[in-house]
Amino acid sequence: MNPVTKILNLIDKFVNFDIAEAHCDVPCGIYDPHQMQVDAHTIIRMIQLMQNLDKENPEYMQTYARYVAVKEHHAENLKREVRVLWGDYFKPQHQEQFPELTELVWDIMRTASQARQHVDMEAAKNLLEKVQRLAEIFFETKGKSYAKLPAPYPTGETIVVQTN
Amino acid sequence: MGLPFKIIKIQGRSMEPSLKEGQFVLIRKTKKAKLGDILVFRDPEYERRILVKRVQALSKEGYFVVGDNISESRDSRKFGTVYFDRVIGKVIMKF
Repeated sequence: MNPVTKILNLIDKFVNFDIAEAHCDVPCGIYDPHQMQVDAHTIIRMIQLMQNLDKENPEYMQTYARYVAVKEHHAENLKREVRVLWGDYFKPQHQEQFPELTELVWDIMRTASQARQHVDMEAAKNLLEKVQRLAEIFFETKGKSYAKLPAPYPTGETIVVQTN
Repeated sequence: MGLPFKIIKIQGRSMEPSLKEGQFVLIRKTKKAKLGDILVFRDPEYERRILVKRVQALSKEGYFVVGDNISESRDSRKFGTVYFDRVIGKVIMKF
């Protein structure tokens, strides 16, 4: 940050300069950490199905290929959801409030790639855990209370939801 | 007040790379702008919001403005001409 901007930032704290918005598309303000958790659950579920698939099944190849395609699609979708939250919703003040934020987002991106490229249950569960932490931070910045509850999916995992 | 200049803070990314989020700019209060000027004006769809975009075309009634980051901008392509009475000024210096 250049020195003039630093000084102006300091003055801004006292006088509050007017803000000109250069917002993207429609500034609808609708963000939600639900879909990325659904994506992470789907990845886990696809791995479970792959692991339990009967190799003698005549449709083994087609079914396995379909699980792979769905898993990879949801890993990409998860990355997109996180990118939107990161780029459009989270602001520098959130980073100040939660210093782990940047590292967490990078971590999610890397882990999502790992979960997409491999059939790796550890990576998939790790990914769910990290997006749930991001969901918790999201609800904290919104001043909403939340809870980690058993998800209504066959994955046997949890989901972070808003409770007020 | 009566000052012909004003400092404004930028929020959002539709004017990237010219203007970045959190950047400050000095504007001159005027209704006159040329093609290519960066205009600061009241949102035609929401009186209390101030927007900043680049002038892409002029007409008798006002300006057609577009964000530099064209894929991520809500501008005249959506809300049409920015009439002169909405214009606050134009950017003359970036910090």
